[in-house]
Amino acid sequence: MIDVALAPGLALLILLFFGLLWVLAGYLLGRNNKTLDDHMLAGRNVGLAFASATAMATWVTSNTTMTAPQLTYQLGVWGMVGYSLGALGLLMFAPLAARIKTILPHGFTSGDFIRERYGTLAWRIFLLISLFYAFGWLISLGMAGGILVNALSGLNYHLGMSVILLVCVSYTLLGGLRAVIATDFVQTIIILAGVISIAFLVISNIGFEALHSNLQQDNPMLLSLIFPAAIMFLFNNLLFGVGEIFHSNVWWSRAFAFRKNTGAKAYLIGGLLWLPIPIVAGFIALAAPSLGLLVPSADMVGPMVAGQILGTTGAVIVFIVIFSALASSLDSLLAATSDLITQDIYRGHIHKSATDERCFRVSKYIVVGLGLLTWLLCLPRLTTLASLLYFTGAFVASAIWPIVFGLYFRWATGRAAALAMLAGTVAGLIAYFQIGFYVAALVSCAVSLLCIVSISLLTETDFTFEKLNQKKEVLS
Amino acid sequence: MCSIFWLVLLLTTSQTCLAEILLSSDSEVSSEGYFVLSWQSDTANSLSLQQANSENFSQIKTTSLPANGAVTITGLVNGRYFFRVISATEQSNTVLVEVKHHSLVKAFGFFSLGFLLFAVLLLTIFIGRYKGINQHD
Repeated sequence: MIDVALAPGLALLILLFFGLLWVLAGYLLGRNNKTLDDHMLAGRNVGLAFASATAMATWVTSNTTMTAPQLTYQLGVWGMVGYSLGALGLLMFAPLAARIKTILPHGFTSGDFIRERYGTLAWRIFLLISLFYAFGWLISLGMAGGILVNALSGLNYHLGMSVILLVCVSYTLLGGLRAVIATDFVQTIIILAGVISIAFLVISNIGFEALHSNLQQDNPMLLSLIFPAAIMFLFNNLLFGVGEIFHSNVWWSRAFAFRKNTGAKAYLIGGLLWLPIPIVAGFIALAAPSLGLLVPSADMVGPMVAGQILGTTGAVIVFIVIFSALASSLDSLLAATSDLITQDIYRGHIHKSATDERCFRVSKYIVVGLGLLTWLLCLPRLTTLASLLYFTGAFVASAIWPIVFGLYFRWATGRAAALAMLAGTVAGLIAYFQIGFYVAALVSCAVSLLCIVSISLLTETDFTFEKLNQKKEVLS
Repeated sequence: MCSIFWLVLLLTTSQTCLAEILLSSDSEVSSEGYFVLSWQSDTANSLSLQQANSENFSQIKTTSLPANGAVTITGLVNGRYFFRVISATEQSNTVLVEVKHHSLVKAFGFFSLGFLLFAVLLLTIFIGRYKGINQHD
């Protein structure tokens, strides 16, 4: 039994209040969605303020608010700094977003690009990687919801997980990407205000000297700058973040949805706003040993410390911030994964002549199905958040080079891209099991680079970017 | 023969008494300095976790525990760590965890590889963007 900072009734009340607020927003915003473009891509007309907010809010997720403290608790100050390097993924995607909008103005998904650019084999491998990652992230978000509620209020893990999933599925279903982006805007304001408040409360409640001397005595590796696993983790986390963002339809669908000349600026602003958040979120984990907290599972450390130090007020703020962060990512992921399945699996493989109207209807069933499947997979709490998340690093980092080379250079071939993704994933998985979660993305990325460059040199392609434009014009 | 029987009975009974508190670890060797200890107990007495660097627990660090649960131990340097849970009347089995961090050569090898990949990625995007602007692909 762990000490809890929030009364279970109060936690339920907050869940219900914000849950109803998001669902209502989804209903109101979704009433004007008439076409597939409206539902999937918010009419392709999202302005800079909403675009920046959704980029930042979607990237602030259970990763940032719960896994950053976990990694700080496990890997020390390098874990905290390494986590903030995830911002580079957003910053580096800025030029790519502009390029995507230019060469694929009528695209729907990241799968569209891989199919047109590399052909069927690479497309299918990419879809497997992308869907596996999407489910890994969905499960980690669902689990984070349950863990958050349990750590702060003692309410049952399954109850918290179920309520948060139900809320996000409902408003994504009702409002599509328009609702997702609008709620992200509100959630961004809540997250920023909450994080600033928490930072202020932590600094005024903890003495730095006591914290430092306790860590030095009992947990010296957390302060060490030559912590081997943490040193390996630094660039692994950076590349994992890059792999997540570069390949995932969550970010591609936004690149398509943002107004022309907006994407690059939005991703730059989003990345800069995101950068300090893992530092603040991670820092509070370092207080756990000084407080004598018994942390049963490392992924509970963030909410537990916040609840312990900051009392009920702090716990309420943390609860609202993390709930907002979870919702802002869960809705985006549900919408983007549903788009990917609708466009690339349903329309690409099952019903090739499906009309936009039919796809519009099917995408709604897919959101419900995704929510249900995620709920089932979250029921057994199999592992910690970081272990689950970084397992997917082996998959996503293998797609970095096929995306980057594919967007800018014509010499990268379909066969090379397919083999690079396969070999990178296998090598990353071997590294995950043989060494640790903190090298999986790194190894995957290195092997993928070797494969795509060497095989492209041995094979030929007649691809030109003009062909890509022509195909899209015909399709549109 | 009879004395052997009584000896076995006595040993079995003592083991049963000691086994009222069960302590276990999720790993015997940790390469990262963190691991999870779990314990189960049916005693009504308050429990404490003892951590020591030697098997005879000559110097101990003590932490109060609830009746059942788990705790993540973290931030330890290389070494052999012994753990046991005690109450006023009982004592658990002793758990040994060896912390053996990866070598720094291996760590900086991966760090260098990561830095190299990051630099190549930045350069690729820079060249690609420059080429794209000039060629209007």
